[in-house]
Amino acid sequence: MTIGIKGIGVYLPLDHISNYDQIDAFDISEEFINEKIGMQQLAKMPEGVDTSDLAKEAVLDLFNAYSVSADQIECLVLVTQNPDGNGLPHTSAILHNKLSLQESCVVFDVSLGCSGYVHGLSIIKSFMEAHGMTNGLLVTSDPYSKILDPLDRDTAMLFGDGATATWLGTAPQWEIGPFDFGTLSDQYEALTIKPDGKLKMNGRAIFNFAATQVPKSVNRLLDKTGLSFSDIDLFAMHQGSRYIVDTLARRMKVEGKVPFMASRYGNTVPSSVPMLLKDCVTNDARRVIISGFGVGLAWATCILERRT
Amino acid sequence: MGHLYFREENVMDSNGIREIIDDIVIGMDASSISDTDIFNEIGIDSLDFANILLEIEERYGVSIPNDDVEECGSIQQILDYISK
Repeated sequence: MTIGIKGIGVYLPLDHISNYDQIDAFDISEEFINEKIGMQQLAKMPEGVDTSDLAKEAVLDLFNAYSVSADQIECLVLVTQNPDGNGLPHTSAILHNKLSLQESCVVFDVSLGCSGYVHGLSIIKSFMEAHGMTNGLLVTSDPYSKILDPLDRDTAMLFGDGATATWLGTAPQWEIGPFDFGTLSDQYEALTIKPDGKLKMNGRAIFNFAATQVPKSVNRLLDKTGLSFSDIDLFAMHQGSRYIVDTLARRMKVEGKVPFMASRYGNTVPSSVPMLLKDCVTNDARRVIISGFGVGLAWATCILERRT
Repeated sequence: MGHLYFREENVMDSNGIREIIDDIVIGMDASSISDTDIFNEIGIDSLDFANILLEIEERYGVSIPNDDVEECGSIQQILDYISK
């Protein structure tokens, strides 16, 4: 019994911050925003809304679009590092309550950042196959607006809030795997939380990490499968910034196959890759490589293959 | 002409650095950059600068720690730094 992707739901808050409003404060140009950062505006969840609320809306979007309902869900995995409250209870339990999921539905949180969706696909696929489950949800909801310092030039123009819900089940549209994973833990301090609770990012370290490790990961995956770059129709890379996406395209020599679509909502952390999949994958795409990379510093890369 | 630094696998000189700049900085003709032009004064932003340093590290097998990045603000400064 093979578990794969059957559908994706997305939720973006209506409120936004415009990066053009920050030009003077950060001494940057419109060109820098458009061509380098890439994020023209950042989605922001309003006051009084929490991680589980964004997640719920993404699941409802999925339920509205696909023939699956709450009473069919046997497991739900939530990827977040910015839970409701202090993380106890786990936010997936709060979400379970908000969605009125079955008592028998198992839920748990996974603490990963930008690599979290791809890691999460492996986790939920393995879990469901091990336990004979046929319908599950992989949810991402990691609103960084909770931890951003609006005066920090390195981070304030990158991150947006949003959530996704991916339906996993049998007879999927997309088969998942194989994977390539890794962690460079000697660099974990490149992305941390300061004592004041605000995000701190070493931009150069993160850039170097992504620019060097992601192409290696993709190459290992292609070697493992016997495929070549030309066999892959699309490279859906985590949307850290336009610059890192363009750098990856150049380094892997696959310009034209590496879309950047986050300009209207920002880097939504683990929601980045599934949002891109929802936006970009056309009916003629047969094989897609997805890669998430970031906090840890960790990466996860896998191949998605359309089931004929 | 830039200072020469010899390594078995690759020789770093100012033209090699200019090749990297040409490759990375869109719309810039690196042949118009002097060895002493300061990068952030001629339109090379922080992202391209990080990318240039990464390419230099990879091509020439050198390491430029974060604490030393400010000493590498021009082609000549990079050559001087590496030759230390």
